[in-house]
Amino acid sequence: MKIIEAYNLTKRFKDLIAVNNISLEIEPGEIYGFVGLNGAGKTTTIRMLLGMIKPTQGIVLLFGKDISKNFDLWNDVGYLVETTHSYPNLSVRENIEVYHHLRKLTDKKLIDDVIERLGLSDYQDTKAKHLSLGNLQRLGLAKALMHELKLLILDEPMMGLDPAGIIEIREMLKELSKRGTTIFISSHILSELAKLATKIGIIHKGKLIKELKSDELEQQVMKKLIIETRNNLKALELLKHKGIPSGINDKNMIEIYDHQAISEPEVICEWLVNAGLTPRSLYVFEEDLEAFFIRTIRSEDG
Amino acid sequence: MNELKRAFITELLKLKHLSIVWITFVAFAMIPIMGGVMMFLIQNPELVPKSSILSIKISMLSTPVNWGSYLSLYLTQGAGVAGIIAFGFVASYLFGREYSDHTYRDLLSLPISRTKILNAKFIIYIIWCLSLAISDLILGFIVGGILNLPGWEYNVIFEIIKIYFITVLLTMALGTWISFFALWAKGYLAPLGFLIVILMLAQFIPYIGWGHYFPWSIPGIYCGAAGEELKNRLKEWSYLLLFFTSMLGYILTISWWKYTDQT
Repeated sequence: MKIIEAYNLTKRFKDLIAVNNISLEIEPGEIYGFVGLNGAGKTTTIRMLLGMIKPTQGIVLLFGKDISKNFDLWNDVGYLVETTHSYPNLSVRENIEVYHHLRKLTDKKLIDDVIERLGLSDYQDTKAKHLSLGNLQRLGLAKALMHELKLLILDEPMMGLDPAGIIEIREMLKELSKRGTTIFISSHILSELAKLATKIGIIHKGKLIKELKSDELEQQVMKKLIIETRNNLKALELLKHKGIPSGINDKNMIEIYDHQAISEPEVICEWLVNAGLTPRSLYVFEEDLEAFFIRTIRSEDG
Repeated sequence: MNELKRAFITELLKLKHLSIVWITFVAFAMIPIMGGVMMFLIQNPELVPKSSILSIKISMLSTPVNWGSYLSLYLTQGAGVAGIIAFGFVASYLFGREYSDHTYRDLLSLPISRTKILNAKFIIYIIWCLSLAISDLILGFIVGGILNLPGWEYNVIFEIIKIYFITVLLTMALGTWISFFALWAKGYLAPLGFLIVILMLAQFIPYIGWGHYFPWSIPGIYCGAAGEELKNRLKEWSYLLLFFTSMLGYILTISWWKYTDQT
């Protein structure tokens, strides 16, 4: 059974099509990274998945059940949508207690556990209005992660967290995923998503323009071999003679896109050394998710 | 029932450490206190500086100084008019705070239904308003006792208390429209604006003789604030009109919360 199924989701706000005919299928245990520019439709999609807004067209199924028809499995879903907010007059513990009640939980130990897991022990009696943005975000995550979940939907969960906090949350999400929780996560910190996600979906102008698994991403990201020698023109001639297509980039370095050369850079190095053109530097450059994302949306824009 | 109970407990919890709760009690307590001050000054007109506006007003009043007029004129009529403001404020706070605090999204996709969460808010609203009314009544008895008001007659007092609570219930019933405006406008400013407009209309419409058609004028007319003649015009259908207006407000509140896009 798929955890999330969304078919032909479209959301129109008057003349604006915020989400345009998106379909998603997410398997159990997957960490789905949802990437897009501001206003691309990420949050609207997430709100449709959570039943907060109704699609103009299309259907959302969670755990195989239509969420628009007496859906009763919300306790299996944890979520954090955009910037987290809490009741300012209540302490961290009291804010969590509110959701402990609303999630119909009975084990009070869950509150202590989640406070400890999210590093909020020192702040448990602090009122939410006095928390830093990072700790507010931790509180928001605590509300979502209090109990065992089958699905966790997070919209920008790393927002406001310091680097150590980002690493903690990343490890926590990985641990949750290992225990079987499916995670749907949007973040603008693409390097974090790349480290976490098992599948990436790129949304642009309301359309899902690319969807690929992390191993497919590995194949699709652009790789090139970058070389610098004392005489790049001579080195280019040598490479041409060896049948390796190459060129000079704007930093006056040799760029090679040939798969064989990228997979065996030591062979190229040997040729250059033997020809008296010992490289000053030679490395394989691999495009990161950020660069891949930008390249993908630019090609979509034409 | 268990779900409603849980939602109710969370609503109670959310009121913890809130000074606004005590502020409403202090503000509502002004009705019996100011009524008591007026009674005291009518009893002792020599204490009021001559030719002051208050002195002129007191000389114009033909209010007898006794329990009946104190509880009826100041407490009950005060509840009928000031109750619209106080109860409206309570409703706008309870229902608008989720938007003002930006916590509403956390209430939308939960195992407890949205309707039960709103019903829990309505229960808190009823308890809060009734507590205000009861506290005012108790304070009224204390103030009347301190002033040593004459004319304590059980049957008269009982009748006034009955009118007082019916006035409170009629006023409370109209809070459903404030809750709707709080959700519709996503905060508590718009419902307070609605409240001001409705209060002006509730004062004006009885003067042109249509008060018994206007639900927000009915509590004030019922408690006698607009005089016996207008009170006599109230018929069963006036109360039915108020009841259906209240129910429509409730249905709109629930429907809006359940079915509108929560962006």
